[in-house]
Amino acid sequence: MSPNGTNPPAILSNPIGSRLQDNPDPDAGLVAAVQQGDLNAFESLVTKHQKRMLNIAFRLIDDHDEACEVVQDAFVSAYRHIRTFRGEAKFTTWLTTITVNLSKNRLKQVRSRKVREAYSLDAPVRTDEGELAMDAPSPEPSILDRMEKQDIRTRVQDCIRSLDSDFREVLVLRDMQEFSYDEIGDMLKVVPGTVKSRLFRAREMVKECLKQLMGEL
Amino acid sequence: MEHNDVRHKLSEYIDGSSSLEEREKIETHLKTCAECSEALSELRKTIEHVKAVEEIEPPAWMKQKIMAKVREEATKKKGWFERFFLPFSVKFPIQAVAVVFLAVTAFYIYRSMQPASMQSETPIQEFSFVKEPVKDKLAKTDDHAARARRAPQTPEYKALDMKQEYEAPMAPSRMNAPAPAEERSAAHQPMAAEEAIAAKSQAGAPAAPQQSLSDESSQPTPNKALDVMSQKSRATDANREEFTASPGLKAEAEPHKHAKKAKKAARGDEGDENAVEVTIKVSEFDNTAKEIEKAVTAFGGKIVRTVPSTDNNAITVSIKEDKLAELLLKLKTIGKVDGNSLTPVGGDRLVVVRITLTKNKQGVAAGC
Repeated sequence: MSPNGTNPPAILSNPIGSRLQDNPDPDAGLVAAVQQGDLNAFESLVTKHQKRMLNIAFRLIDDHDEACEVVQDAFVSAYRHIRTFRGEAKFTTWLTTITVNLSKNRLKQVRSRKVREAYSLDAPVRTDEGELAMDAPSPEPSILDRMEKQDIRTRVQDCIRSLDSDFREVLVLRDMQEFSYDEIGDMLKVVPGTVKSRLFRAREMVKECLKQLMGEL
Repeated sequence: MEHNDVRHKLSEYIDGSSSLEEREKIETHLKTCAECSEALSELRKTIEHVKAVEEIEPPAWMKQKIMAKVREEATKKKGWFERFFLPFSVKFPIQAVAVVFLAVTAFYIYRSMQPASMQSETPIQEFSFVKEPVKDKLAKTDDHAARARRAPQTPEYKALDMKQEYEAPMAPSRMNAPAPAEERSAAHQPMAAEEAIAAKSQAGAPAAPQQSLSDESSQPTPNKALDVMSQKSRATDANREEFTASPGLKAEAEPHKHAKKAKKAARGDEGDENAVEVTIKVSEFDNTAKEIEKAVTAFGGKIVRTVPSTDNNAITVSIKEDKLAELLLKLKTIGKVDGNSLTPVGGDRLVVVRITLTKNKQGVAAGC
């Protein structure tokens, strides 16, 4: 895969192919039709997967417009390289890999742009560990009162947003999109053990964040 | 399993991805460790909160925008290259096809250009001859005369000078003061008639012994030109094809000489320097050519080559020397023969005769 991540993933590893024998790709027919030049089949794939891809991109980038741009680019890139897709992985896995890579690239651009912009009190700050983190919630009662009024979903989103991209990726792909460890490992080009480790840390960080925001879970 | 190990494995335990052995150890530890049990509970709640995060809906325009871009991409894909090559299920090695195509094209271009180049040269050479002014002919005649007026050379030196061999001996008075071309040609017409008679008389006679050129120059006789012609027919020297019996005849023969050279060049048989040249003026080519072929066959000769053209027909004939005289007489019955100074010589060796048929503009069919 090229550094900018615009190219689709290369041939995925054999374990996925063997896994596909047990769990066939439900999109295989549509993909085959697209490979024969059927644009209606590709439109069906867009209809089917655009919401999932948009949510992945949005949770990774945390910007709706940027996420929409990324999803468009991901589908166009997938169409451009659909002939190279040999069905050794699910189409969803292949498409998600494209989306994740494009999102990561876009996130870097967005962050560098935000650094150049004027400092905002609401913006995340860089800690000594080099990670972007939200300002620690103040224990003052007045702030707690305000937080109680916030919707719990907003708080969870804030906590997810505070994660580093490596941990956010696995959390989004596992807990929000319910991909398997193996699939996540193939998408992110890491071994399943790394996926488990990152996921444990991501969950612990979100838990601590929520405990700080809500007092208790 | 230690406390910290269990805490790290709780995430996997919740997902159900732990091994059976690990699962049993974790569950055993959880029964005795309240802290780990609370951590497990908090982790489950955290995951529930994360999963409960509301999903966003894609805007309606997004699919349209995606499909618009994809259609644009599809249109771009169907360029001329794709349309030409994509229909083939088996991809041709394009380079190999291109090489074969270029080779075949080059071969056919080469084949088609060869005859075109040969044809294009012919009219140019003939045109240059036709355009040759009469003035030049007179000047050339004068050049020959002037060369004859040069300092006398020894017979040995003359023998080495090839050009001198072609100059027919002439009377000292003529050498000093050559007459105008018209006068000369008129003066020597009877002489040409005498040559024809002599040729006829010698047709049946055995071949006269060949005389040396030095003897010819020292004994100028009216029949010397015929002897020189016979030498030419024997093809002893390539440079002996040009000859005249006198300055007057030479002046007449000059344009013929150039014409023959040009035609030979056009026919591409310039290398056959020893052939006897005969030009026949006829009204039409086809029947005349057939008659000539019959005559040649009748005299035991054979047609070597026939080069038809719009302006003239060239027939190259191979015949025995002793039959040459009879053939020439026969040719005179077919058409008006130029080059009537030919002298037949007896012998068994083969002689090449190049008969050129030209159109008789006055429509005279035959007879001379």
